[in-house]
Amino acid sequence: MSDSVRDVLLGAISAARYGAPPPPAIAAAIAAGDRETRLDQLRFDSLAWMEFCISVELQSGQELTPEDITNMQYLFEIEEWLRARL
Amino acid sequence: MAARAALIMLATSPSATDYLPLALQCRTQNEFNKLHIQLENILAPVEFTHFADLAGKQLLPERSCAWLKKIEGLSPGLFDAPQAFTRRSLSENVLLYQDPRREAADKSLLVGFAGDARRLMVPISVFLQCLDSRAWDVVLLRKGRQKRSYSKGVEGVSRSLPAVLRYVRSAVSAQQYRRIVTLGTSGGAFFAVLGAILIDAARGISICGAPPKSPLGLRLRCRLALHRAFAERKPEFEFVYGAGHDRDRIAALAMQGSLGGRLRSVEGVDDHNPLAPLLMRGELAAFLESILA
Repeated sequence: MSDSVRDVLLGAISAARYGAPPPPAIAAAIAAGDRETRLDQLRFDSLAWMEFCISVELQSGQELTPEDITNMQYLFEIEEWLRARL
Repeated sequence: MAARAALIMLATSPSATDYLPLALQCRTQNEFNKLHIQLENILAPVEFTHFADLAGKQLLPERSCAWLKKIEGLSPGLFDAPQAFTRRSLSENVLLYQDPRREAADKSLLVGFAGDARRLMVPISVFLQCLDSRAWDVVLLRKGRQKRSYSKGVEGVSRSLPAVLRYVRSAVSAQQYRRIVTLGTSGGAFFAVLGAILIDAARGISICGAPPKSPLGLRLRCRLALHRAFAERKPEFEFVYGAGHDRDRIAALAMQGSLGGRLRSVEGVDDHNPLAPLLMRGELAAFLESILA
């Protein structure tokens, strides 16, 4: 059974990559509940982070902003942020 | 649900005069960002004078002022001395930027192939501000909502890349210009090089391009071969990449290997966007002048 929060993450990463699927290593890390993947490993610029957050809001209705992300370092923190609200 | 619906609705191409009602409708920061990404992808430099007027009259919300401050930081001359490009939509995904007071015969035509972010790596007004509107007209091609590869044309124009270039030639009477240059970034870069062949350009420039993962269709390959065989003049090709970005460097080498042309590395850049660091260093205008010359 798919995890809806992780599906939102994967969808948002794809949106930030303008439709390209998440890199396999990142997708695998999300699926495994990895807590070591750093946000800077995504190599997103400011525009990509905006697209990421827009996608999160479109998918989940939750308002994650680029400013929220500046206070985070790891991908699991975004997942936990979403889980706390969904 | 309301937030989702609002975000989806903010998907049209607003004009500068529509701005205030649209900005005031944005209930969340993400709605605001989505609107402003779209504005950055289309607005010409002179359209920002409208925003400057609104800011001067203190009619703008605080985050709009923050956005304008960001744009001004990227392009300090944009509000005081904007390049005289005006914007016209030839089609939903084909935009013409020109100073209509200047004759085409005195200018060159730049055909831009935007990447998947629907821009040339920086806001279009910032890019245009680095050009001289007395010397250039710019046609900007964008991928549509489906993000279809340019090998399958441009949504709203044609499913054929050669037909898209024929459309551009006709729509702007390209034969009037002194010369034509094509330039593409990222997902548009390889096709800018092909476009240079198809539109008989003097030069085709790839910025961080790569050959497509799927082979080009037979019809397109034949068309390209015919153009190359019978063209009176062959375009010069230039392949630009960040010196520290291995994947882009390897892709540039691959394209140079099959098409010929010149490599151009941008020192001090390890991102898949050399134009933004050049902009921050105050070097983008000079760089564009050197590759477009």
